[in-house]
Amino acid sequence: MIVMKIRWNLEHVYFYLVCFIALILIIIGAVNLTQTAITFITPGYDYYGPYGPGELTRDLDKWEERFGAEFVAEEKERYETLLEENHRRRLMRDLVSGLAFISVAAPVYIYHWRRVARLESEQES
Amino acid sequence: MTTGMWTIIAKAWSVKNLYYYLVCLVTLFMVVGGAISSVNNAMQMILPDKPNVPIFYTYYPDYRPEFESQVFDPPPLEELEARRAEQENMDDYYRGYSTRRLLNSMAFMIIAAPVYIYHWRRIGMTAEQRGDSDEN
Repeated sequence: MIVMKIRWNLEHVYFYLVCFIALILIIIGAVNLTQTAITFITPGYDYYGPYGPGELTRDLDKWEERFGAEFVAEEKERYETLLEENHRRRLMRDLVSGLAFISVAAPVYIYHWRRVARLESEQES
Repeated sequence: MTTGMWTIIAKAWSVKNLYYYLVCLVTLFMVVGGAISSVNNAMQMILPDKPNVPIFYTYYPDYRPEFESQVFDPPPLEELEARRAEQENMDDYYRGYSTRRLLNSMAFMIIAAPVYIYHWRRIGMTAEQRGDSDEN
């Protein structure tokens, strides 16, 4: 006959709950990092910007006629430079966010998981 | 299981103990959430998005009934630049919220941490009084 000894110790339940939530946070961090890496690898496309095909109301040719082709080219360069800089900044923020999830939750998980292991071994001895 | 063991388990599962562990669980993750959020908001302050307003968005052609259509007649460049600067300043104003969000996240940590420490110590004291940490 197999006898299962179930330990519904409050301490056990608490430590397992903390580990569970911390692990979920670590997973969220890992998913964030993966998504940031995917965004880094796959180039973005500014469909709705003033130069994108989705933008039909800006009348760029009229601007060019009024202020000259150089002006429109300069504006395009300014816009795209800022767009690129903002994209890099967003990537950096997302990277740090993913790392923050992992670096904050991992010590909590490790500490509580070790406590669980210690409790288990104390009870078995 | 002996009666003594049941008594120890019943004591460990007392409402008081349950309360201490619940408070610890909630406050611990308030501290964790506050820490993660603080890092994110600090990054938002350090590396904010730069305002990027295309000059073409500072003027919209007027509809003039006499022509029965929109007329493209933008003001001089200086005025368009001034309009852009105004819109970009507005963006700066909204970026100021990140300071407030950082302080809010830190408030989570600062308030929850002492509550967690206090209740975690009470758990330790209760376990010592019960003398059951190794027994159940």
